[in-house]
Amino acid sequence: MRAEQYLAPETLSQLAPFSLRARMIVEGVMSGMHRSPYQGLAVEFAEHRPYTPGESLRHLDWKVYGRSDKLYVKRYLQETNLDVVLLIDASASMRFGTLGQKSGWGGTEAGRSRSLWTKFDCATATAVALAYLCLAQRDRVGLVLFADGVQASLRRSGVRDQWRKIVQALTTEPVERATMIGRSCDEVLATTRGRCLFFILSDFLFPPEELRLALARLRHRGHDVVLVEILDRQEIRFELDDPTIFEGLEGEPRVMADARLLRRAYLDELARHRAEIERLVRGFGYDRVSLDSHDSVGPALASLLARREALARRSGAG
Amino acid sequence: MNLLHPGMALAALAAVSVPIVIHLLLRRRRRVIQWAAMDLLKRAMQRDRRRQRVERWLLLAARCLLIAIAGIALAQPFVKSSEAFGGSVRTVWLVIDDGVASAERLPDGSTALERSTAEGRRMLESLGAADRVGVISAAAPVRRLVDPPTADKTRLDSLLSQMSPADTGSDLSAAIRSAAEAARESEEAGEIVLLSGFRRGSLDPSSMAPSVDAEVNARWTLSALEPLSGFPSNAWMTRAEAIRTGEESGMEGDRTVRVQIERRSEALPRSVRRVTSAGPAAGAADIALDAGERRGGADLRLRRDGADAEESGAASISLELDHDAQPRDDRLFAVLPSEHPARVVVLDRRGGSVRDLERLGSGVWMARALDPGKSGALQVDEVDPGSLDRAMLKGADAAIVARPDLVTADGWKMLREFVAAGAALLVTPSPDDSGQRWTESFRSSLAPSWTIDPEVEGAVTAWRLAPQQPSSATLRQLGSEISVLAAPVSVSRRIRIAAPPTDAEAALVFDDSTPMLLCGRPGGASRGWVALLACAPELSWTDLPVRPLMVPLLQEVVRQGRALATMDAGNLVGAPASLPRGAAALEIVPPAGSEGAPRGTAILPAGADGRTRDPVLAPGLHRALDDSGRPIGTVAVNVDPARASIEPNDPGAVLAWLERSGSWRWRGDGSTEGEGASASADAEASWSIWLLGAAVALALLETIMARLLSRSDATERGA
Repeated sequence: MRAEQYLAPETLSQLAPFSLRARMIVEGVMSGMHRSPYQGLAVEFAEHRPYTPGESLRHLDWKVYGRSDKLYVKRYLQETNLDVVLLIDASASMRFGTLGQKSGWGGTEAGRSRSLWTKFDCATATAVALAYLCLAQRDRVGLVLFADGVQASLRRSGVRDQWRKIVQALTTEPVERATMIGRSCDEVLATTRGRCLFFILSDFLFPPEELRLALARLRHRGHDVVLVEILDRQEIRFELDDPTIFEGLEGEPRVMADARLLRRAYLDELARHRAEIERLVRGFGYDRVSLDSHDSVGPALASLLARREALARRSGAG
Repeated sequence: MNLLHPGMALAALAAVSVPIVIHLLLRRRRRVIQWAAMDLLKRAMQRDRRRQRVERWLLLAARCLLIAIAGIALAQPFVKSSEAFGGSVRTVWLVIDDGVASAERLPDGSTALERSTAEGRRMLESLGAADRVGVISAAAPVRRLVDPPTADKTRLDSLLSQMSPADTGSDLSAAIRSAAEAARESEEAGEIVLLSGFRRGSLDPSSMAPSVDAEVNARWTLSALEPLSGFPSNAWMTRAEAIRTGEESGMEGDRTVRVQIERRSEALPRSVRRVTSAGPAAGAADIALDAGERRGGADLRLRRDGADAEESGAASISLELDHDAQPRDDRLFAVLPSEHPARVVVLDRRGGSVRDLERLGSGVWMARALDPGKSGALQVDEVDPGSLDRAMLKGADAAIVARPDLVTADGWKMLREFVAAGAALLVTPSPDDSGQRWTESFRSSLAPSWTIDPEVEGAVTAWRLAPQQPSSATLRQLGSEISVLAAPVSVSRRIRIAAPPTDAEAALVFDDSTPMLLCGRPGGASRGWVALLACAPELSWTDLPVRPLMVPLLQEVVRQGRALATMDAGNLVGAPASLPRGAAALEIVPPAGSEGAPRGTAILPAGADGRTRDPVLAPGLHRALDDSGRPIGTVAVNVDPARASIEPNDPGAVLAWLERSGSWRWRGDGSTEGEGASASADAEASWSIWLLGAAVALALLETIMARLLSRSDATERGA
């Protein structure tokens, strides 16, 4: 599988005008476009503050002392690189898909056997697009595949080859277990140092309470998070007419229902679920974007990046 | 509600099963798909389970209803106007006069009953499907043929078609009363329809009218068919009696029956009617009636071996008159009296051999007069009145009491039973002037209405018999000779006797018009015959014993008295029948040529008065049975000519009779109601259009409902 196949030209063209910026200032080890939370001696003066006795005299502004006979310490804003972690749901529910694949689309193990474009395929496409963009602006990108725990991971790196490793990991890992985002998040945080921007790509079809706990831990560690919700169009519209036996992908028992009569109630439940997730995301001050696996990834991502760019400008950080 | 094409409605009902079957098949045909959002699905199902079930059944019901309504609409239902516009269910009581008068043949060949039932069927057609009809037969005894009222028009039509005239008369009063009682029990409003020709045989306008209470009158409509008009000719036989036996007439092998007929009609032209004897005793005679003449008669000679002879010697015959407008009274059944020699018991006390004619007792004279030539034509047994017992009277046909003063109280009781059983009795005064104290015993036992003066009258100048003697049943055989024979007779002593003409007839009268011989039925009895002579037939009282009248007088009193004692008192259909001596029951025998079983019970038990307990409902020659069920005689029962009368009644008089019971109206002769029925049919409202409209509306509703229940709006889709 060629990595380029995940980057449809229209997706990249829509993303190109935007630079990915963290809404929060993240810690970086490399100079870059992103502002560092660490003021110091680096690039750009930020402000003065009164000197505290006992403090090092290294950053004392002598010129101000000479003019005003007062002791002030100089503070600086440091330009840093951004660490991005792509946290991708590889549980069995992501194997769901109803869009038939066309030649040249690429695909993962999840949908290849049935020639369907699955939610995992869509997540893969979105993830590689984001990785490509980040690497292009010299940010470091890491990858974590999770289900009921971390399935596979790639350390953050800013080298060009990182992108190919990401694609390789996404297209070969099995997608078959249940989702436990809390546990997976704990495992990820245990190995993550510094502040990162987490992109969580999932269908989020698990209890919102689990998500809340996971987001709370990320928030506690000061990470920024963008939730990318990926659902199949059939899941969004539920356009089934006949009495149907539904078979759970994560081992749930079979359920018989008249899909046509059930539709309204299902859509109500879906809307309620998504509203709850939205409420959680806003509560933590994070971003969320929804993707229909049948649609192109570009417009939704472009919209997300535009929104983040605007917010960064308003905050004057960027 | 009725359906023009019931098959379509049935097909629609069958087609209702189609959506149900589809529903069941769809439930079975489920596809399996893998699904990720199982939690959401389960929550949706839990939240929506009841609503889904209701909606599913609602949709199914709507589809079934749609098919059913469409099918019924195609079946073109319609509602009779009475249902569509009247709203309520009606009850109609048809009172149909099927009495014997309804057998009248109308000029168009139908019977009066058929006219009534045709009107009844027209009435049925005009009724709504839910209206109920009860039927009452007005022939006595009145019966409710359909009770409770039914809406089954097929059954009613069949019943009306099968009705035939009864042999009993009509009892319209009881029939109306019965319908009124049924109406009072009903909570619904309705109509009582009286269907009759109202001939005189069905209704006597002077009779008591039925009472219909005010509540029924207020709620129920009363209507009647208009009376039949016209007065066609009708004749019937009034009597058939044997007038002379073959032995007496010298024509061995034949019996002569005198038949009398009577006729009624608007005009009485000259006509000749023919009487024939049905069965083996074949014979026929023509009876000529002059213009204006109502009655006539003829002698009919029948073969003796053809008549249905019985062990007792009696013979039964069936006579038929050529048919006219009322065929039911053209047949007469009769039982001719026995021809066996009569046995006579003479109650007299013999005082030894008497050779002096002047001193011969009345008993001797009478015994000699009964058998003057000692030929044995009449068997005479002489019995002393004091030693009379039942064994002596057993088997006797007649008794002559020459010494009533010697008869004991028990003796009078035995004589009473003897006469009541169908025997003849002649009583003459005691020769002893002072011995007339028997009169009270006679009166109390046998003739309570008769007057007998116990004092013997003596005359200086003897009483003579009247030169013109009355015509009597007892001495009918003597004809005009009776006056010649009576003329020389003189009576010097007598007792005065008298009786109301309704209870007895004077067969001989004195020239002062007082009866010399009174004859009649014993008081309160249906059979038997009693005669009382005003003088003792011995020479100290009268010269009768030596006059030519003595022999024929005694012979006729015994022979005719025997016949009259056993003669049917005119047993008529609809009344209890008199039975012969010793009969315990009457077996009803259908007359030859009649169809089916006779109406009523086949065996009628006898009551204490020698009659059947229940009325006989069929004419014919019925069998009298003894205790062991053995036939012991024949009883003739005939149609009552008065109840079969087709003499018309004045419509005004009929209406006046009806209106004594309520507010009646004429229904016309079918034409008015026919128009009503036609108008009613025109008013039938077709419901097809409305039902088709409802089906279309239901289809739209089903479509909308199906979309609403299974699809969300565009906004939801875009979500």
